[in-house]
Amino acid sequence: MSDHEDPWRQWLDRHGPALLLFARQWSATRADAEDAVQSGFVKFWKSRDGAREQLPYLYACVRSAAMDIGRSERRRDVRESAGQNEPLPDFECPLERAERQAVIEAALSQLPGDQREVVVMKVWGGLTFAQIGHALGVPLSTAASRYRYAMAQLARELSEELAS
Amino acid sequence: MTDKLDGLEAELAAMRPRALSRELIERIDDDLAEASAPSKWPDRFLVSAIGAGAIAASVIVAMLLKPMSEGLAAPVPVVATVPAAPDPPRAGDFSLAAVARAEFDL
Repeated sequence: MSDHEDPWRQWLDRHGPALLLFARQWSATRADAEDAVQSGFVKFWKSRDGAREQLPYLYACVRSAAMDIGRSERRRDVRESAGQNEPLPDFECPLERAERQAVIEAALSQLPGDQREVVVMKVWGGLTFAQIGHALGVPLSTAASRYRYAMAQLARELSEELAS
Repeated sequence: MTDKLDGLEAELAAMRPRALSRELIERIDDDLAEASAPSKWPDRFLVSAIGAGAIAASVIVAMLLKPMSEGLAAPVPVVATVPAAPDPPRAGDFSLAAVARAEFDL
């Protein structure tokens, strides 16, 4: 194992958890998402010097790897058999907040994919809308509006949940 | 509404995504170590074979070109030196005495 001061390790410590959550977008199983993070991160690390902005490029690499894995026939079979029953332990879950967090996770999973990925990049990845636009290949304004729609829908679903 | 969204944003940010597993970090470490390792011997063998082949091809080409360049050199002209034919005798070339002696010899 390499020393923790390795630059790649610092990148992984800082962005790894958000990247894994991001990769879950296209992966029915945690194993698929881990494969995507592995493949995308290694690709990023080898070619990062040519990137205009490294953080959006890292997300773009993981996204591309996750989509490739998601498309493969072999993985589809695994998803169909394993994905349905796998819980979504995407967040650390302190007991006192377990119930509320489960509600939020369920609401997040109901978001359209293009909105959820923006929320993940913004909230947990710490990217700006300009960086999100760069990673996804969309204008800044599109990234910002997807985020606003997503937050509005989340707020609506969570208030309905509370009311019920 | 904005306050509500700010509160929701803060609530989301307070949720911590799960950390990467040790196994995944080790897999990434292995991949990066493999990528940065010096080339393996099959790669070096391939480079050596290509280099040796290039040298051998150069030698063969040089050997083929050498006779051709020699054949193309300008031939040295061979000039035969033919002795000049003597001028036919003229009447003034011989003395009367020599003519008389010739007639006598006949």
